[in-house]
Amino acid sequence: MKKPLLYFLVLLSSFPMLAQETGVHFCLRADYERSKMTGSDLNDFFNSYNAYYAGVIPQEFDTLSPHEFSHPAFGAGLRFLMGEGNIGFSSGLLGTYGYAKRTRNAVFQNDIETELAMRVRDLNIQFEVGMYFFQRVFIHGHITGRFRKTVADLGYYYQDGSYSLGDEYDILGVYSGLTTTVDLGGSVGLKLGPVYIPVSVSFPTQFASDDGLLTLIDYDVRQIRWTDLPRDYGQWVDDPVNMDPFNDFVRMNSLQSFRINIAVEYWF
Amino acid sequence: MRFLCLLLLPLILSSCSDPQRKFKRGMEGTWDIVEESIILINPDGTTETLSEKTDVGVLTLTEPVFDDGVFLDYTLTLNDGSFSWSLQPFKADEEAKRVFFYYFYCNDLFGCDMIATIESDKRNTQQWSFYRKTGATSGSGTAHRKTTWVLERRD
Repeated sequence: MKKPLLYFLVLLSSFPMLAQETGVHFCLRADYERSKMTGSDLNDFFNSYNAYYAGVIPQEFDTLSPHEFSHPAFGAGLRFLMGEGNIGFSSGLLGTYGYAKRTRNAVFQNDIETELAMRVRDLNIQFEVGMYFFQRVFIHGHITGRFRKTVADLGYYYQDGSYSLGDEYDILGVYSGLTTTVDLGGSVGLKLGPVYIPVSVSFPTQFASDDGLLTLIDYDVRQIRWTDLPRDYGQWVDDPVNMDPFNDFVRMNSLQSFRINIAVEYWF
Repeated sequence: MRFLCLLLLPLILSSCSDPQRKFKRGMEGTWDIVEESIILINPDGTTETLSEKTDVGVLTLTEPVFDDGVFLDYTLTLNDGSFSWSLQPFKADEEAKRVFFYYFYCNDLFGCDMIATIESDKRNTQQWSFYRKTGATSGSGTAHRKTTWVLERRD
């Protein structure tokens, strides 16, 4: 932890130099991302697991709401302003990182508990371009490269509390995958002194999408049964041979999300 | 100087190494398996201790000849066993939650690996557990045999 801290202190020490440059501003940013997932593949898994074990699973998995992976984020960037008087050109290059985790549990009659612990880590690289008015009001359009890393630990808690991610059951494992999207959107912002408060909306496009080819998968395990997390658990157990690799597993593009961000930036 | 910040940001990011490689760096060397406990977890929640041992064996983890960045080779000798493992692939998963002993039970591609859950990960001490399904001695249904190893780094 000492090394990043050292770099961060050096970073802070350079702020006064940046502030003397007109037109270019370094900024630190904190935002809250309210997102809505476009797909429901994870819920397909939960529902099919509940259905397969109906009658022996008194506590079923709850499903995820579409907004479940909303989270705060932090970042930094550069803002460039050009113009005189009440109107001018504005652009920005921003990087933000946010993290959310959610857990779902189901308990069998024999007290074995299945837990799916999910974590998403979102890295956004956003380029904005637009106009400002009266030195206070900003309107931007943006394009964002968004990289969502999802990791899901599917483990069992046995009756004595022991936790296993092992190989005694094929479904146990650590599943992961990357959702990459190019988002388009726009924002409106208000600048009050060195503080800038933008509100933005972003929509995922299918440009450079994997078209469902990538799935949530346990890369490290070698087993005869599929190592991808299934959408239909019953078929994965009873009829794995006829599973469609493009549609029957939790697809990474189902974790794309429409999102609204409200942020606070401090410009140096 | 104005872009000093931009130059530093990648350094900040790169200084945060991923758990898998960090685990690999920490594990290379020789470890004594100082304790082994095997318990049976019955379906009715009762547990039985099947065996408890000390001075169980030695695990040596070495850099493989063709290093792809995440694997080590394991050489494992158990003191009361007639079989030992020599230079087989070993690694932790991306999140460093499990360790994989490839070709542990047999030499086939599938069904031969042992996956242990990391219960404790400290610089000089590790605790790993792995499970097998087995018959119950109490209650109806499947019991689970849990084997726990405690490892200590050899100086």
